[in-house]
Amino acid sequence: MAQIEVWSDIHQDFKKDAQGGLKKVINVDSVMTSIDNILRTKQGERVMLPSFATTLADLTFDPMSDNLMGNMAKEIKRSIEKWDDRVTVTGVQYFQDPDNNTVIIYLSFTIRGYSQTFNYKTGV
Amino acid sequence: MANELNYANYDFDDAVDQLIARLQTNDATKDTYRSSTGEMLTELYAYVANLVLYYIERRAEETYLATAKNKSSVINIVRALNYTPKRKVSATGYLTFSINTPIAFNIFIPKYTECQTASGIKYVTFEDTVLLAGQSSVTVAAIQGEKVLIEQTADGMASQEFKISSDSVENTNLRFLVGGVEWTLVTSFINSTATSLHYMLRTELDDTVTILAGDGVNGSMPASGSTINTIYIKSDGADGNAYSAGVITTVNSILYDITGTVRSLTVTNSDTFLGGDDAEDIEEIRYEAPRVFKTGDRLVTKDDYIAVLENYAGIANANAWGENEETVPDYTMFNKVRLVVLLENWAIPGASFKSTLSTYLYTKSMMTVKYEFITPEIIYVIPTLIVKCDKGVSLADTQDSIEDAISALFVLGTTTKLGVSKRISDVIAAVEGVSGVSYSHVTLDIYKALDTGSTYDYYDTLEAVNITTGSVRLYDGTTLMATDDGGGGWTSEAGYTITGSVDYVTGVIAVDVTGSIIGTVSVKYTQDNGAADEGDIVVTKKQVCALQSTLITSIGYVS
Repeated sequence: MAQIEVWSDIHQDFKKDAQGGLKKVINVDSVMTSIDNILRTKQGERVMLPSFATTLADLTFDPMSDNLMGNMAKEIKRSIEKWDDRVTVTGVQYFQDPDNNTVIIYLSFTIRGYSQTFNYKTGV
Repeated sequence: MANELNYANYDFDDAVDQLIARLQTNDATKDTYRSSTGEMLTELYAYVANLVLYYIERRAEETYLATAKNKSSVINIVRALNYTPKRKVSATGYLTFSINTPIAFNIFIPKYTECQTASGIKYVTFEDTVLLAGQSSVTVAAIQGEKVLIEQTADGMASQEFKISSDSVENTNLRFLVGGVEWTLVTSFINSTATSLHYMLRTELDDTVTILAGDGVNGSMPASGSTINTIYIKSDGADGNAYSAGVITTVNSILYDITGTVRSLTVTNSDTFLGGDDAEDIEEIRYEAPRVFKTGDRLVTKDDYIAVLENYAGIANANAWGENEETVPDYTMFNKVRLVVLLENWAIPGASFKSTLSTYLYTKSMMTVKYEFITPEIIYVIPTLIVKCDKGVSLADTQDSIEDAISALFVLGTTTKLGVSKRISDVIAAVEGVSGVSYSHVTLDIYKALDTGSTYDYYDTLEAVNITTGSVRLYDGTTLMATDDGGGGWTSEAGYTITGSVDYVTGVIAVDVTGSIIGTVSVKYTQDNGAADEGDIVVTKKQVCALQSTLITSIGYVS
């Protein structure tokens, strides 16, 4: 049974759908795309909306420490909840990967209208 | 309509809203968040569209005279109206050369003999003349500027161009000689034949000038190797006006008598040098070109006269009228047109200026028309104010702003014009339009310094009549000497004994003073115009209101 389309967005890979149109993502996938956009956009990068997204890029050359991790977690929660009011972040976990100069982030969050908790993983 | 782009909305947010509305009608998206990929792309497109539309609008603006912002665009647009913006125009007048002791030989004063003021402004004679043997002085027409000669060589090609890389080339006095033969300036080669010795002038966008020769079909081509001499006057424009006599004092050129002996002459200007004007700026061109075009190069209507007069170099404001417009129609004027003109800086034109102007006007006027120049009358106004301001504003800053606002009401040719009355309501609106002013009380006083008389110590005629009885105050400098008693006599103030009379209808004022005078004797008064024009200064066709000063007698905060 097809899902009822509440939210929709363009698929980030710009793929074709079965009808040859631009492939869409809907509902939860649409929210996931939104979170991805918030975390992967550098603040100041978006035209006419310089306050959009996070300041994570400013932390790139900061030494890895628990303090830095804490700041990152706060910034991620603040920016996601500011720019997508469908989402409530319930937890942010992070794991340092010094060998790859990366921090792995696990988000757990709820979406308005859904009862379950969702997870999202990304590396920054 | 949601499915149509409204191209009048160049705003970014409007573009986003319209694009989203359009997407929603096509079922492309159900909902949009600022963080969605679709919204990002939509905004990116709107941003680019906004940028492109901005430049399209800028380009569109440059195609209309009313909205063009670049001088190059304005010049190109008015070319279609056959309007050539004026370059700098030199002041003209007369120079008088004198010799202390007349000699027995003629002394030659050739055209372009150069003289100058103490400050270095140069003037050249505009015709050859001779100080005859036995004479002590001779007067000759002259123009402000210095003669410049450029020598070039023709290459024999069609449509040759000869550039003058100066932005001070005088507007009308340029000569173009090919092989020593002077060619004629035309505005178009359309009626020129292959042998016509014609040239055109093109004012470039940087205010320099290019001379254009013909292509051998329409207009002759200068032959290869022929010498091209361009002679022009390098003008100082408005800075070259001499507003008083006796300021041109030095002869720069060497003058010889008929025996070849150098002779020393003195020079002076017995009258003003007026008519100098700077090159037209964008706003002047924008204002003048349609008005001049509307005249059809003919002087028929009142508007024609005013447009052509105000387009004439040096004239800041003008008025013109015929027999029907006299207060009592004067049919003995026949075809006489009365003209009144005021020059830049409120200068009143002299005889030479009016003579040159008449000659110019007759080239455009009806055959039977005659001109009569009327001397303008300048009514000096002192707006006298009581001002109440909102609490918290700076009184000093507010006073400065009020003075600026009032000054802006007295810009000659723009906000004050010949024959246009000054309304007290305009002054009140200007004062109360200043930020921080709560309310004001305004009186428009008229000021005049009195001439000395023969029968009376001071005797003059006040031009702005009728005079309000009881409003005339007589001053010695800033000290009040007397006020009129409402019946045509004077009531003296302490320290002075004033006798004489005031005629409230004719404006004739006569004053005898007993007591020493220290400053300028002057009067201030108000005009009595009846209820309809109460408080205004109502002027005649030859009168114009000028700002003498602004007097704020009281400024404070509202209680």
